[in-house]
This record gives sequence, C-alpha cells and structure tokens, in this order.
Amino acid sequence: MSLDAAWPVPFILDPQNLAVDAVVSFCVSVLLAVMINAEAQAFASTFLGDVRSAPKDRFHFNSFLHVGLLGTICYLVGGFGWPRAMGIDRSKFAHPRLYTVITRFAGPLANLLLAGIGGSLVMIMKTFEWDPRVFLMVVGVNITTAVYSLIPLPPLAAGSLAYELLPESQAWVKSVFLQAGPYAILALALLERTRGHGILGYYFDPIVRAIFNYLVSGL
Amino acid sequence: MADKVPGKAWVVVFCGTAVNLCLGILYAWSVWTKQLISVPKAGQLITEGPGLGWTYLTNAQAANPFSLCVLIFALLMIPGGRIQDKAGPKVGAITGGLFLALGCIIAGLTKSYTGLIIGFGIFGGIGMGIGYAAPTPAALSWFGPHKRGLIAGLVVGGYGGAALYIAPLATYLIGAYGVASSFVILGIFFAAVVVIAGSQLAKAPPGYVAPAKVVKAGAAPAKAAGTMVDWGPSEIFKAWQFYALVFMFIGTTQSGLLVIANAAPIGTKLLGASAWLLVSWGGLINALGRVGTGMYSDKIGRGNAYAVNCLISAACLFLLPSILGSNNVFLMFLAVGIAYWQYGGGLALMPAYTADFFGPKNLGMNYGLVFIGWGLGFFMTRLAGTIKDITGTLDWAFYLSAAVLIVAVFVSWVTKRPMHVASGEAR
Repeated sequence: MSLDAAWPVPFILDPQNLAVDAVVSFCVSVLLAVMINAEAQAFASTFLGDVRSAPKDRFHFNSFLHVGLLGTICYLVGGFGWPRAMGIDRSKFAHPRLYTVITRFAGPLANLLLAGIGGSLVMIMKTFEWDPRVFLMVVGVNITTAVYSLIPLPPLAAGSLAYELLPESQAWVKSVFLQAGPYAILALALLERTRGHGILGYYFDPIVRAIFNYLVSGL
Repeated sequence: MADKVPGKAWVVVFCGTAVNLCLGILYAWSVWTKQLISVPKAGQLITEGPGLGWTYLTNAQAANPFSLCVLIFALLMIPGGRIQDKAGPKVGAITGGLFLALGCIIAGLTKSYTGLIIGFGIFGGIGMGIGYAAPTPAALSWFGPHKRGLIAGLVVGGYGGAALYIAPLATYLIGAYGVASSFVILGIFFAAVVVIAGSQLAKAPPGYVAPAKVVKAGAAPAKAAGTMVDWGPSEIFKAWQFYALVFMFIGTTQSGLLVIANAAPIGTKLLGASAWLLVSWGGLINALGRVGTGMYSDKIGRGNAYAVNCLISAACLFLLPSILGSNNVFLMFLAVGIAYWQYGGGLALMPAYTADFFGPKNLGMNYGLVFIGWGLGFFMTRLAGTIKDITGTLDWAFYLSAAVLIVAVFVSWVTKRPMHVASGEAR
C-alpha cells in the first residue's frame, strides 16, 4: 500500500479536516500506544525488582487510567506523547539509576513491538485484499511515540537518561529539569506546529518514516 | 467423589456459548459490506436494492469499521477480564452484549459511514472486549481441571461458530428487509439473547469444590493437575511458567496465522473463483478444533494434546511446499484443515492451561496477560513476507514456523504447574 493512500506519517490531527475515521483511528491508536508504553514500564520495573503486592497503577491494562493531561495534549498537537508517570520505587532496584533508565526505555521498546505486530496484521490484511488503513495508523502512532522518546527531556525515555546523568550534587537543577521537561516538550511541539517546521520533525520524522516503510512494505 | 457437577454448571456453559455466538458477528462483516461497496460510485446515494438509503463505500471505508472493532476489542479485552473478575460474569456479558446490540442498531438507523464507524466500530468493539472475557472464566470455575479443556473449547467455540450462522442469517435478513433493517433486527436479537443468557452466567459460589476425576477402584489417586491457589495478576510475572505459556501461545498462533494468512492466495491458485471454499472450510475446522482439542486434552493431558496438535501441524508445514507443488486439492484441504485445527485448539488449550496453572479466580485478567502471546505470534506472518521477498517463495517460512512449533512442544514438556510458595503449596 502506498503511504499516500493512507495517512501521513507521522500523523497529526488537522482541525480544518477532521474526518471521523481519521479521528477515531488516531484516538484508538494513541490509547493503545499509551497503554502498551505504561504497562511495559510496569513490567520492566517489576521484573527488575520493584515488586508490589497489590499495585493500583499497573497491570490493569486500562488505557484511560494511563492517559495523562500533558502527554495527551502533546499527541493532539505533535502526534507523539507519553503516558501518565509510572511510579517506580527506586529503592527496590539493585542498581537504581541504571534500572530506572531501563524501565523507562521499556516503554518505547514495547511501542516498536506493537508496531511490528501491527505491520504483520497489515501484511495479513493485504493478502486478503482487505484495506489495512486503521492498522497503518496504529503502526505509525506507535513508531512516532517510540522515536520521539529519544527527545532528551523528561518524562520521555531519553529524558530519564539525561536526568540520571546529571550530577547528584545539582539537586535543584535536576528538580527543575524534571518539572519543566513536559512543558518544554509541549512548547517545542507547539512551536513546530505553528511555524510548520522545527528541530524535532527535522531529525525524527525521517527515522519514523524509515521504520514505518520497513514494517509495512518490507526492505 | 462423583464426577458430577450441578446442573447450573452446564447452564452456565451453554449460556456462555450463546453469548459468544452473538459476539462473533465480526466474522460476518463482509456480508454487509458486499452490499455497500462500489469504488466507482463511492459517496453516491444507493437508490435501489437492499442498500437503499445508504451511500456507496470504497474498500477502505468498508474495512475501517471492522478494523476499529478488532482494535477496540483488543484494547478492552484485559480490562474486560478485570470487570469479570470484580463485578462478575453477568455484568460483563450483559454490558458487553448490550453495547454490541446498541452498536448494530445505531449502524442500522443512521444508514451512514459515520454510523458504521461509531456503531459497529466503536460500540461493537467495546461490546466484544467487555463481553468476550465474561463467559469462559465463569464456566471454567464450575469444573475441575479434567474438564477444563472441553468447557473452554465449547465456550470459545461459540465465537468461532458464529460465522456459521450469522453470515447466512444476515444474508437472508438483507435480502428480505434491507441492510439497515438487518442491523436493527440482529441488534434486537442480540440484546434479547445476551440479557437472557448473560443473566444465567455465574461463577461457582465461594467454597464450591469442583468434582474431581473419577478414580477406578484400586488405582492410585490422580495427581492434582490444577492449582488450588488463585494467583494474582502481578504474581504470575514471577513464575517462569507464565513466560512459557506466552511462548507456547506464540507457537500455536504464529503457525496457524501463517497458513490462515496464505489460505486465500493458495486457494485462488488451486481453486480459482471457488477459493472461498478453502477459507470457509478453515473457519469450520477452526471452530471444531477448539471443542475437539479441549475434549481430548482432558483425557490425555494438556501437554500431550498440545504436542499432538503442534507436531502434526509441524509435519504438515514441512510438507506444505511439496503439497503446494503437487496441486492436489485433497491434500491442500487436509493441510489447511490441520493448521486451522491446531490454531483453534491453541485458543481452547491456553485458557485451560492458565486456569490449571494460576487458578480460576483471576482467570479473566490472567488469561488476558497470557493472551499477549497471541499478539506476539503475528511476527511470523511479517517475517514470512520478508522471507518471500528475499527467496521468492514461502518455503523457508513454513520450515521456520514448523521449527518454532517443535521448540514450543519442548517448552510444553518441561513446563510444569508452578508452586505458589507464599501459600505453602506443594506438588
């Protein structure tokens, strides 16, 4: 299937042209991406030692409970985002800094995995000559979520790595970095949206499209 | 102890099957779209025939409600399991069924693409997600491990069996009353069935002990095949057997889907315009495989049933390139039938395995987690596409798939029921 025949990748909602199928497909894809990202973090965290007896914030697989305000706005503005912060008890980790970073990166890894499953479904649907537009959206949104997680600002995965690399002595810098991170990402996405170009899309969109093309069309 | 469950247990089983027979409407989607698709006339009003009052759809538009329904179904399946575990099967089945019924009625009354997206896609998906998780755990709670395979097969077989009656029924209704009315009539029918059947669903009461397998006089007492402890969802991650079950699910799914995905093109090559026969045959065997595998897994054990299905299927996959080359229609039907049987059998075995390993109480949620393996099993179809691009044939994909099946059988042999250390359970 040609990409032009389906949706733009990365997909960003256009308020001037809101088709019901595009809006619903995008929203469902975002819910899936957020859920899989958050639950993968929960899984990695549990696997690495943060075991809870009756956890309320994990393993419920309910997308609506994983949706956060800023992350969702970012999806609407920039086509990428993040789930509500998954609580981690670092004191239970054998190597707190390393395991925290691994836990955060488990989210985008799971998004890539889901994109791979979506790509397989696209191939199955093609053999049945069934139009796979909705699954193309799932693939696109999940790849976008995974790739944009490389922005080195919290709460995105690469942001957690940047946070952990900051020296412990700079506690207030770390605190400001953590608090301001989501707003800075949102501001960058807004800036890019209003100006039509910017630094995020310039670097990340070609990666998103390359992975997308591989998953839905082969090498 | 006598091998006799109360009559209520069988009522729950058959009502669960009835609920799933309604939820399986997904399989009949093409019956409706056939009446509405016309690429050259897309967007124009239909002025005659069963689709009167609708507008013609493109192929993409016809596929979108179906795809959304599948996705929302998947999205809500695990939360649906939680609803079942917390609020009980009645709530899950009736809520799910009514969502689906309402969705059909909305689709019929609006006579529009938007109505199909909202009605069939969103409401239908919500209904299936919530409803599908309800009947199986409720039915399994009444039976001991020696019956779980059959019971799971009967209940999930209802979902697959829906294809056998909804398609002809919908075809008749469309011919007699039109596309819109067929949706409305089926919606009302589903609402009635799920309210009546759903209200009969119930988990076994607290303290209920399922009858054990009858042991012949003088024979050694049977070992407990299932756990007496109900594992919580967060606990099962600590047991390596959970990952083994996920891998075993990947095994059955990847090989089944590889053949299913290629059944239509294979059928077209051999049967031309009658290729649908091969796909319909597969659908029938898929449903029968769930009941049949469940039944003999109770007799010979889950591991043996899994091994029989997978090894025969693996042999078939190794022979599939030769069968394709021979152009023998009988062998083709046999090979595709075995693949579908194995795939359907996996869908009956895995809930029974999950109940044996982790107990019936949290089965809705726990099986939802094991079901992740079903999603991961899709990788083989994608990989097969790459293999075909590189080698020009699917032969090596079939061999690889067979090899994964054999590894999965080894995994099943070494996977024994986990012991719940915290509760002091012993084998």
